[in-house]
Amino acid sequence: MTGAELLESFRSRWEGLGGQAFLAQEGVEGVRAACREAVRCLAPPPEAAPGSGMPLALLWDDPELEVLRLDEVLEAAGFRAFLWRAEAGEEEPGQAAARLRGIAARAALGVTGAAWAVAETGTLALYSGRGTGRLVSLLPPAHLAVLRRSRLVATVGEGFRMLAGEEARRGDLPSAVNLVSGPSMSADIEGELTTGVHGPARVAVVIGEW
Amino acid sequence: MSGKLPEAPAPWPVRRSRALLAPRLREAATRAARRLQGQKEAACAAYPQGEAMRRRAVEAKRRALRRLDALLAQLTERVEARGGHVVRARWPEDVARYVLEVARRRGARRIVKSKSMTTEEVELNAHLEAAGLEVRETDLGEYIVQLAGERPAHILVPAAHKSRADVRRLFAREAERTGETPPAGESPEELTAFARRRLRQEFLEAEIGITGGNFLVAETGTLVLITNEGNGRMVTSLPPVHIAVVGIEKVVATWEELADLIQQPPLSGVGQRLTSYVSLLSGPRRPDELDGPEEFHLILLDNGRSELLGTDFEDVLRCIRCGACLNVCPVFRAVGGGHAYGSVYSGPVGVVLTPLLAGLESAPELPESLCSMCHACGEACPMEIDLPGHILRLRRQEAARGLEPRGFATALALWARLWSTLAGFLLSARLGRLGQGLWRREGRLTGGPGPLSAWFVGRDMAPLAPESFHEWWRRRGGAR
Repeated sequence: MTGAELLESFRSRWEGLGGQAFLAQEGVEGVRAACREAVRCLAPPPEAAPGSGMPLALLWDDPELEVLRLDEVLEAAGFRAFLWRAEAGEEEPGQAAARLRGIAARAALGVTGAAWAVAETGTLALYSGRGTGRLVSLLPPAHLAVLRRSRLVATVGEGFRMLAGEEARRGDLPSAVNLVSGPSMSADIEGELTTGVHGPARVAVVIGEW
Repeated sequence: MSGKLPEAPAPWPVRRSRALLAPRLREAATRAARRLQGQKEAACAAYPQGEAMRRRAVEAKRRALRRLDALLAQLTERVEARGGHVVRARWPEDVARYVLEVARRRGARRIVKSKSMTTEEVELNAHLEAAGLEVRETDLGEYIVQLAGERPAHILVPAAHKSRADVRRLFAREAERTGETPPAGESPEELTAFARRRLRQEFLEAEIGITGGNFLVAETGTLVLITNEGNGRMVTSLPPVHIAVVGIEKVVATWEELADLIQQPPLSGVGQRLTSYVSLLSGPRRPDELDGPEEFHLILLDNGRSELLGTDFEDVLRCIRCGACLNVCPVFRAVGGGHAYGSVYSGPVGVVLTPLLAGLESAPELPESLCSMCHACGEACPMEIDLPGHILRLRRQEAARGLEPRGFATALALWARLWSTLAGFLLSARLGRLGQGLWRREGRLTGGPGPLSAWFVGRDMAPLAPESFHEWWRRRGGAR
């Protein structure tokens, strides 16, 4: 598959599963603009929920995302943004973990990167790590993932080979790799499809090059 | 010696009558099975590359079973190298004992679970609850079934037999118990919203998370879990301890093989290319991580599995619990789903696996009565398990060991003797025609004398024609 075919195939699968996809113009500014758009579509604007205070957003502290300054994008969209990391003064690791978990449980939106994505199945791969907590894409009702276009692969098998490369580089696998294909789904009540039973009900991906 | 499975909740004749007298169950099971089967056909037709993948997946499983011990040793070494714990459980009690030991050491009281057939197999919930622990099933269907105090009706759709009104009643009762706001209405959205709110609380408070496992990868010591709801991710991300209970047959050698296998359960079971979530878990959280379980325990369950290695039945260990055989089985539909089987494993694979794991004596009725030999399951199985062949083999074993109901063999021998001569055959037809008026209801034959009446439980047949073919032939002047 060519790059354009991978992109088209991924997008149609992902949207078919109930996710939203946003293609960014090249460069940092293009990705930031697409993220603004995605956030607007994913999470209801704060003024729609008066009295509930400022909505919270939780963001991976990922070197790949750093240059995008997504915390600023989120703040401009009316969120209080938090990064997944210990703050100065939180020497005890348990302290930071408990605080972040509390934020994740209350946040309206979680923002992550993605290590790779599979065109054939409409799947994002998320690696857990120091700055890339697993709760960010799990507890909030909406999840936005930002994906580099060059990380699109055709099959799950190719994705696993990228993971093996990562293992060779780091000397170990991530403790958790989560593959995400669309929103949380259940058909357990009379076979009717509902979303968001445990994980996010609304999911979006921004695909860009930066 | 084989393993153990939970005892059937009621003897076979009771289960049979219950199943056949419940048209609503039959409709629900038929609806669920048809829906899933239709989705599978559509998905496979649109995904031709899936077929080559499936064939490679069968080979991967076949290879793994041939060197199971070596793979389990490698898996154990890899998991332990990352600080995880691995134990082998020969019997169901071993699982409960280990989990209770972990709970005691951690001072844990609250446990959340994602759907797992192995823990059903060892009746883990009952053991833990008896020891005073609170166990919560978190798959939406399992949650409903747990609140109702019942057993799952289908391995993929545990609450297929519950209507939205049933679910609302159960949730309203649970809301009262916990002081929660009850569901606003009975639409699946409103009911799901209640479950999300309520179960979220339980996830956050739980001290231990228990899961099964769909696959294990030996080369890296990785546990693979697939779910659509995300409860598998919750259970393995929030509580400080994660315990996985996995059958020894779930291990494969490499990630390359896993790539071929991982799409098979959703493709064959529900017609999805991949489940919404796949978790690939390699040990507990690393020292620099801020979430994930601090402790990881892997319990490898045998319970009669290793005795199937090297036998005619070895291929049953390739089963990936996709549910494809249930969805095509006419008997599964007719008896209204899994309850009639009286086992945690229902449908064609349950008919085979239950007696193989727990001994033929424990469930002779399964191969004997819950199969019409139509062979649809054999065609549907993505792992190419010889289900119809195994059912026949089990029937032969039953006959050889005299496990059929009393008088069954004698009755068959008498019948064979009667019909082996033309005179006997004609005589039985004539007697039948004379006597059948007694058991005719609405144009169907619904009973018979003495032992024959047993056959008519749950069955009927067309009455014998007023004139037989032989008589008609003779009347028309036909030659012998």
